[in-house]
Amino acid sequence: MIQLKNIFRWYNSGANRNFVLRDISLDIKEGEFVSIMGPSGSGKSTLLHLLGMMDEPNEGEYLFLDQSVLKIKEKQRSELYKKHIGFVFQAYHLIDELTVYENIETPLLYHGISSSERKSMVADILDRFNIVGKKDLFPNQLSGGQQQLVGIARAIITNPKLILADEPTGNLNSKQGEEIMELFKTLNAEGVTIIQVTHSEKNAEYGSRIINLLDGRIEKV
Amino acid sequence: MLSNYLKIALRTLLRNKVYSFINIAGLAVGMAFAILIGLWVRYELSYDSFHKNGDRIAMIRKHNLFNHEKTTKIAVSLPVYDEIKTNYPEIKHVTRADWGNFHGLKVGESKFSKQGHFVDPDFLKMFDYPLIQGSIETVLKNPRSIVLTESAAKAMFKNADPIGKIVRVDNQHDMLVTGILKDIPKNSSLDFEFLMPFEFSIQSNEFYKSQRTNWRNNFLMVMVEVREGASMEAFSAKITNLIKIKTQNKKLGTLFAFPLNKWHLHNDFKDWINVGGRIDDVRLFGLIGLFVLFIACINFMNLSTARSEKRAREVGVRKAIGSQRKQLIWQFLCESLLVTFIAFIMSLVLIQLVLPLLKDFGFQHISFDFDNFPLILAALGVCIITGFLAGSYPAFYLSSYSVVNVLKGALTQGNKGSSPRKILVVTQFTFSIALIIGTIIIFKQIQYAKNRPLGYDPNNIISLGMTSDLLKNYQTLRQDLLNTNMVEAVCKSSSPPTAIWNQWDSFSWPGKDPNVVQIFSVIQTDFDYQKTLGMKMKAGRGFSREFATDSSAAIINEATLKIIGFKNPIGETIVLSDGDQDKKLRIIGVSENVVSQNPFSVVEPSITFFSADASGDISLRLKENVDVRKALKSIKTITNKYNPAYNFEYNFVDEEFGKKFKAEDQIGALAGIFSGLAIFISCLGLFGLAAYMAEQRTKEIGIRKVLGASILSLWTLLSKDFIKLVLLSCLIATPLAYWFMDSWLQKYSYHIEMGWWIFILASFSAVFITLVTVSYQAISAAMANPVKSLRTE
Repeated sequence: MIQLKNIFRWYNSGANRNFVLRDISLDIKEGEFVSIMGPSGSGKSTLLHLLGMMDEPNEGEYLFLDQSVLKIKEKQRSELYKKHIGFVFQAYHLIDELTVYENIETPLLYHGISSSERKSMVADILDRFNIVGKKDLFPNQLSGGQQQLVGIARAIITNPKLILADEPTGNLNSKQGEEIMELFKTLNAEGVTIIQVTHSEKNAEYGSRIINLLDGRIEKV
Repeated sequence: MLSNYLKIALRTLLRNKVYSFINIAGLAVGMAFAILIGLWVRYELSYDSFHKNGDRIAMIRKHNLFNHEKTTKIAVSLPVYDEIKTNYPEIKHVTRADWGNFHGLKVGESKFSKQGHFVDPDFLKMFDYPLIQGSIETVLKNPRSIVLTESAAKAMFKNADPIGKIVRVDNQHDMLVTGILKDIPKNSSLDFEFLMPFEFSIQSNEFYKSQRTNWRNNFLMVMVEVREGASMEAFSAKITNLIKIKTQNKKLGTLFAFPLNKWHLHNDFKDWINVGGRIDDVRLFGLIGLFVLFIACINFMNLSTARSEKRAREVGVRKAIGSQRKQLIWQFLCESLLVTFIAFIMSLVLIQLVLPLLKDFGFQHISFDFDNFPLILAALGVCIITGFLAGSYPAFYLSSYSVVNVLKGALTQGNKGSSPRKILVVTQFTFSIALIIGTIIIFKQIQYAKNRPLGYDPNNIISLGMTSDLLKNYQTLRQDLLNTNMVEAVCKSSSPPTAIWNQWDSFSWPGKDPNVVQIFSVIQTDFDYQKTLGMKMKAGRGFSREFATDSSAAIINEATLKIIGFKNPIGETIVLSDGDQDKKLRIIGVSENVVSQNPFSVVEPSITFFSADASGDISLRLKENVDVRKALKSIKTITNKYNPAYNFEYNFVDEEFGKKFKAEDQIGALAGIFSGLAIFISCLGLFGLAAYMAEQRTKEIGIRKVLGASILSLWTLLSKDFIKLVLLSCLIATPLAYWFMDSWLQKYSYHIEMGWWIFILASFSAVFITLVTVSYQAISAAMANPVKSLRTE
């Protein structure tokens, strides 16, 4: 599904190049549940952003479903992203001005899905996540765990093949964290590929594979 | 999708009430005034546009060369009409017209004073003043006919049919009502309540009769309509030298056709060139209206971008869940359109509230009609354009955020977007300060003209006008008035103290250059003119009954003395060539320059000479400290006795003089309103920016306080940036305003010099207003408890 070949990412500061990622090559197959680990500043988030097409490497090649992401046009890339990738954030990043229902509905708007279809899709997912009763609340009326649940609901409502999660449990207590991880496991079992960045060994264990990053290099696979 | 955008927009608005208020209030005020100005401009542009054949109508006007000065006049001589009527086949219609004076109209015992023109029958055929009753071919055919407007007829005849009834005019002539006109539209250059045949004034007036072949005496208007397909320019060129050809005298001026569509807005001439006129005001205020709106838009942009960090996360999230930049741009544009639409609705309310207050500033005929569909559409157009204009910059700016940066929280704070923001603030304040400077200068100029020495004392003078009855009974009237013991002096003269109706070029004196046509303002008067006006003399004396020879005496003003150049003018003689005979006028006095016409112009040379048949006006001076109401009552009784055809009408000369400031007072008041608005809207924006800045720098302020900064130093720190911007605006505004106002002042031959203090005062007040606006935020931020602010991070 994903092939990274010799990816380099650096920032210029003055005459120096600060390398964030060095020579990363990686294969991820459909249905995998990959955990990326590493200390702060090791390049985990940058790698995730590259995978999520929000950032571009300075060198290297990136194939997503056999398409060369870096060679296609901006518009096609954003179509590709929209169709196949869902993103889950550490800080949830719900839109404060929208209710739970509306937050979950928003991606469907960008997918141009009809109103009646949107209704049934959102209703399904609310039901599945057991948050029907919360649908008219605003994000600041929810606990962190509930917000993250909404965040995941929003990420998977478009049935993406791949979920990228950036420390999804980082802001949660351990019980809430466990619930979220269980949810990821279930999703993975249903066939969704998941790549998460995490600090926690325990959470990493939920995955089928762990990638360790140190100073921008992959330690062991 | 749209409903999602609108929902977000509404909720964002409600969440940030202060910002929303500043945005909406600023835009509403800006839009209300832009629309008001638009209405005013539309009204001004609509003048005379209702004449179907308007593009073929023109007035014959005349270029003169007097006193080495090129002037352009409206009055032409009587033979011009006959000549054009008979010898110019390209002319379809031609009419004469007098100036449109008030006349006493009497129906039975009811008396009315109405304004009307003497015109030729062609008048109604060329202009679109439709008749309700009567036929266009016949209403003005009989010299003894009168055509009334609908409301004049209604006032005079109530509900009776006026056609065929008799109206007695000036207590002398019985005229037959032959037609009723629709009321004259307010946006008509020619305004009148009745028309009478010009032929009648010729038949009844010996002076007119004597002028049939005199090309020198210019006292009426001639208007023409060229035939379909004929060229106005060609006609205008053809008549250029008409007077020269007819009189063999090349000093009497050249004629040209002045098209109808220029009468109202392009009526100013300088050195024979049509240089504009009211159109300058229309353009100026149109521009100012746009600018005020633009300033309000700038607020919107500034506040939106300043608050962008708050929206940045939303942008990032939306991009992360699949939004394209285009969709975000649309979202923010929708938001700004929603804000402008709310502001638009508010502005419509505001317009209704403000319109009545603007009645005295030239808006009395302007209204916002909600049933006028194109108008509503145009206003809505303004709204939408404003929405796009105000929303475009924030939309493109906000939507440009990169997801990674935003969601990492690594968005560089403020500084990135602050340069354009600074430019916008400077633009705003430059314009506001320039307006303040302009307003001060306009007010100073008006004050300067109001305070100028008038050369006479306009207080306590009453002008009664003149009628044939009053003229007949003048001596007894005068005696009766003096007998009341409330009147100091009475005189009659050829024009009232606030006007000069005659300008003659037929004076000569020893040493006059025979090649120069020298024109003088002429006032003919009897004894007591100087006493009644309280005219101040530089030398000599006024006319007096004690000198029998005063019947051939003259008083000149200082301007005349300068031209004539006599060392000792008293006792010298000037000669007035009046037809075949020369009249010798002995100078008995030199008066100060009396400001009787335009208070913004240099006083023209004038000669006041004694004439028993001066018949333009009666003025009287009340004694000091008399009860004006009582005096008016006695004057009314006496005047009514000798003037039975007219209702008692009078003017206080000081009030009449005050009316000459109307146009300038209007401009001054409008400029005041606009600069007030501009500074208000700018300050609203500044207030918002200051609030935002205080919020942004909460942490910095907290740290500085912990390190021991005083409130004063924090206040300075927070205000400094804004003061710098405003000072920069002052620097830019000063030369701009100087250049602009200099050209404005050049319109007036009597004008102030712009002192530097004006610019310093304007800059100082701008800085002061800025400080007041910013300080509230700065001080409350400086006073905040640092523990609290540091904990929030």
